[in-house]
Amino acid sequence: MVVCGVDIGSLSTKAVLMENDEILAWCIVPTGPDSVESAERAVGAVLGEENLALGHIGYTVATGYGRANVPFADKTISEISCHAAGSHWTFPEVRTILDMGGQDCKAIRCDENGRISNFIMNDKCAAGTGRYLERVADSLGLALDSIGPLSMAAVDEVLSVGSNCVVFAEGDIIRLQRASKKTNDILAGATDAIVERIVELLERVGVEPDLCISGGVAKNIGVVRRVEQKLGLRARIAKEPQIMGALGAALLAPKRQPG
Amino acid sequence: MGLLCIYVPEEVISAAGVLPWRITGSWEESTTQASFYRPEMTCRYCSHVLESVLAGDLDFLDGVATTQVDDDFKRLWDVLKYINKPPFQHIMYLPHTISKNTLGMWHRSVGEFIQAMEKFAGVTIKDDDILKQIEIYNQMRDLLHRVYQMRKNQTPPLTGSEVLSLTTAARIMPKEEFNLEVESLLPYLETRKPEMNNNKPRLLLCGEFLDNPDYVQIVEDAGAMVVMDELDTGSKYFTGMVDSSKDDPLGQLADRYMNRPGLSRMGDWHSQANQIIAWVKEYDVQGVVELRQLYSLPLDYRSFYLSKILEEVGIPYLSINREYHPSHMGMLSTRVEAFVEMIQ
Repeated sequence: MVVCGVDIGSLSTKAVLMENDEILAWCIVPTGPDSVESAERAVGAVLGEENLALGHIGYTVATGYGRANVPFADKTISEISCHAAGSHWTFPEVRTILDMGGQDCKAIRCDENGRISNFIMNDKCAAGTGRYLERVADSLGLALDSIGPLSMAAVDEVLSVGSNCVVFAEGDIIRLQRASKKTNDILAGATDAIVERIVELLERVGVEPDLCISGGVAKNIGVVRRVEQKLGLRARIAKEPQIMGALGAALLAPKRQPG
Repeated sequence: MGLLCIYVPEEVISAAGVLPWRITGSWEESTTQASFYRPEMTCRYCSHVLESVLAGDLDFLDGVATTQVDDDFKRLWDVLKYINKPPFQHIMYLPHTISKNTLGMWHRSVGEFIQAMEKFAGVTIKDDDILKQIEIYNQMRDLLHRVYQMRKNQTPPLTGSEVLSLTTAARIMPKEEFNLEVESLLPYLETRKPEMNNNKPRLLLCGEFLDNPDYVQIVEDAGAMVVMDELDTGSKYFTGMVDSSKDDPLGQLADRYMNRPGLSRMGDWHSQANQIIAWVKEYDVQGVVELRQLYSLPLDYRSFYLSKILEEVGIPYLSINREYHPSHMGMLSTRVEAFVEMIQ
């Protein structure tokens, strides 16, 4: 049976179409002001790829902060369980999951079956989330996907940038720019700041290898390498780390029959 | 007579012919007026109560009585005394540990409260008046206990938020009327078949001054059954009978308020944790969810202790912060949902 997982995040909506144990199609679209429309757009896109219609989907699980608003969903499951399921299916050795989304950050522990055993979540504050990196990129006039490599390249000194608040961090960045500091050095400081918060969160649930990093921020090499360095281990990252929640939702569809 | 905490012996108020009324604070988000007198980062319940007083929403109250169960309550009482609203204010001195000396102090405090109530109501309170009220209040405690016993059923006849509404009614209604209502409710509850799926995990809810049933509702909407609570506004309000023998009604009354399961503000966390563990077994509970009110420091500290003890005995425990008024419900429900999925 074809099942669908749809993850409506704060910044992007992800959909994954599965049949048995195989991913048929996936997509990522920006979340618009109307989360129902975003869900329809994402699911429409994966269906289009496979030349299928909504009627072909046997079961849909919605997750993410907009999960309650998906009219065609059969069930909703929290993004915490979905991220654990998606990451564990992709990397069965994974016991700790760090999901860094646009507006929240979760540290999750799971057992050998992918069931969560502990979790902690920061969604009260933008510091330590993808939104922080967006604002950092914006205030330096850089593209989001360029700041990871830049934060690693040719850093002379790591400058101090506040980690407690996105607004204060922006203030710090403007001050450092005025002082003609190098962009790479500012970026190194800003990335260190976000990593400090992330590692704190991870340490509160306890890190057991393997560690999987998912979510949009997993695409930032600067953040990933620093987390690895601080924890002294190598993180597992899926080819498309942003769809782990939607993938988990599809995997948790009760009627899915693995091949 | 408005009440803030659950340590003021209500029997004394009723014996003076006055209606005890446990104050519920405003459920509005802002506490702008209260912030003239109180810093933001202090007990949110107290700030919301002060907001209601300043907005005139509690003008129907003739007085307020409390104990200094913690510093926040004392500070709130200071402000009420300062603005002289409601027109009568009384504070009792509550010891935070139990010993022969502190019990003597508490007995004296109860004696002073009786004198204050006599003066306030213009009556003389005799031992027989107290004994009569002890009987009525004990009946209320017994009735609520019987309702709670039904929560042990595989499918409880009441949801957790319905139970909170019931205990809220107990705290504001004339007790004799309340007792009659619950007596007629009991046969109905015995036959009531709620549309509840009994495969849901059974939870115990902690959270001290939790007044708003919406908070219980989000736990139940996450796919769980709240079958027991450790709330001041729930089980802790009525657990523990007053010895009704005629030897020393005042002493017996005073003892009950000290000997029943304590608040986190009372330092005896060990027995509080044991009480929770006993309830977990009695009510066949699979997990404990604590909705800690922001800036309730004693509860924050207790939660470290509780998480260690509950982990040792293998009881899953989730402790998260909440506001006093309904707020950030989406964030809370994501965490509770994940917890419910975890223990399922």
